[in-house]
This record gives sequence, structure tokens and C-alpha cells, in this order.
Amino acid sequence: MRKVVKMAVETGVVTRPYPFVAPEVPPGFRGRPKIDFNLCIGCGACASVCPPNAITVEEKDGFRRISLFTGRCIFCARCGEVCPEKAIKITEDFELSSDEKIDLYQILELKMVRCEICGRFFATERELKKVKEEIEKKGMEVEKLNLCPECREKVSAGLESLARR
Amino acid sequence: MDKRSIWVFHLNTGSCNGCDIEILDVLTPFHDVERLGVKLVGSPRHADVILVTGPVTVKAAEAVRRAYEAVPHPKVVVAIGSCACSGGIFYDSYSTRGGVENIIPVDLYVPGCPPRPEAIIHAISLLKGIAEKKIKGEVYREG
Repeated sequence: MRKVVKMAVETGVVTRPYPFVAPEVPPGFRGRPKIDFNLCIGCGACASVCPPNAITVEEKDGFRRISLFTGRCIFCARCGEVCPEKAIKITEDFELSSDEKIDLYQILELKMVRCEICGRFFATERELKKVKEEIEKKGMEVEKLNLCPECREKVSAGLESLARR
Repeated sequence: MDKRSIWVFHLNTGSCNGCDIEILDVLTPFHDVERLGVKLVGSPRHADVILVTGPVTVKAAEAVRRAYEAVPHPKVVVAIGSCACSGGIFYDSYSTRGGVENIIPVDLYVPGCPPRPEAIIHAISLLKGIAEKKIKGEVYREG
């Protein structure tokens, strides 16, 4: 008994006064992934690596909708690792409690462009701009980039009449 | 519920035990949530709050509904962890029914895989009104 009391007195108070002081976050902690709406080009790389499909990509009415649902996220941080534009930042936020489900969503809708021949929506404006910049840097032609992959294939093969039909 | 103690009942509906261990951690002297008046009770009949962890498996669904009915009014359901919030990584599994909200109404979502003990304490503080909600839904449409 005396031994236990002595140990307790020597150790002192170990309890963290958490809700009344700021929390301590260890270095390298993976918190909520945050999409930078100004940097994202909507390529969907994050959605394809997301293990629980917390990030989804849908196309509707000429907009590509990227939606990150924190309520399903497993905080693996693969989205931040794979993002070519570094648009997804792994923050240190972990106080994510909410009484409404809508608070757990981050939704981004990006404008898409139509194919010049068939008129189908095939890429986001930002995505196309980025690819054009990259290709111009390499000194390659950028004319066919306004076509969807199928039409581009036909035009490259010299079958433009087939594509226009 | 501001000044009074919250008695919680911990309900595991098919969790991997990650969130359960975090709940135990919250009750240890290191985090000591009992200083906020939280007490873990053994029966839903004594509880004010149910802490649900894990996706609801098909077998557990009926038990969840019965446990919810056994809690006296007013009752609060807290979904702890991503699985309880939405089904998590098991969301399209044949043997689960997704999140707890598909079975019983949920009042507070605590995402995390597992949520840190501090995140659970933050949720309890939200219930008691001593902390504020820190996240907000964000929607951005180009053009």
C-alpha cells in the first residue's frame, strides 16, 4: 500500500487536460485530406487509388464532380501521394465530429470540354490546359487535343470522314 | 445534457476492434474522460448515449435495433469511426448493411480509422456544449 502511494505521488498527474487545451499532434500524423479547389484539375487519380472509394468522380451535365466523403475515409493518405498537382493536402485535423452528414463532404465541380467532332464531353478544361502546356513544352503538335480519344484515333489514322459521320 | 453526467453504452456491431480500443483508451487515466462525467455502463437500459463502432453486419442489425429501443428517452446515438459513419471500407460488402444510420438514427458522426482518443473526447465535448464543431461541408462549382 505504502509502495503504491509512493509510486503514485512520484508519478504525479498524467491526465491530459485535452478539451480545455489545444491538442498535441505527433509529426507525420495523417488527418483529414483537404482538396485545394483552385489546384485540382479533376484527373481522378485519387479516386482510382482510394481503397474505400471515399473519393468518387461522376460526370453529369458537362461537369465533372469530385466528391470526398470523410465519413468513409480511412486516412491512408494515398490520395495526397498520388495527386499530380499536389492539390490534396493531408492536414492534421482530426476533430471531425459533426451532427450533420453534409459537413463531411468536400465537393468540387469542374467544367468539361466537348469533342470538336462528336460533341461528347471528354475532359475538364483545367485538365486539357495542363496537358497542352506539357505537350507544347516538348514541342509536339496540340491541334488534335480538342478531340476525344476515339475521334483522335480515327483522325490520326486518316479516317476523318469516318469520325465525322 | 449540459451539466449532467453522460452514461454511455458501448455497442460493437462488427468492428475490427480498432475503435473499441480507442474507446478504452479514452477511459484510461491518461485521457480520463470520467472527469467530464462520462461513465461506461453495462446495459443500454442505464445509458443516455450509445457509442456504436463498426459497420452493421446482417447478424447484428436486429440486436442494434433492440439495444436502441432499450435506451430510455432522451437518447443519443454516436457513430464512432468511419465504418459506423458510412460502412467504411466495408461499404459494399454483402455481409454488412453499411453505416449505423441505415438501422437507427445517428446524432453525431465521428470519422476516423480509428478516431484518435482526442477526437472521441471532442465528440463528447460537443454533446456537452464545451467545444465547437470544427468542420463544414465545402462545395465549389466552377464557372
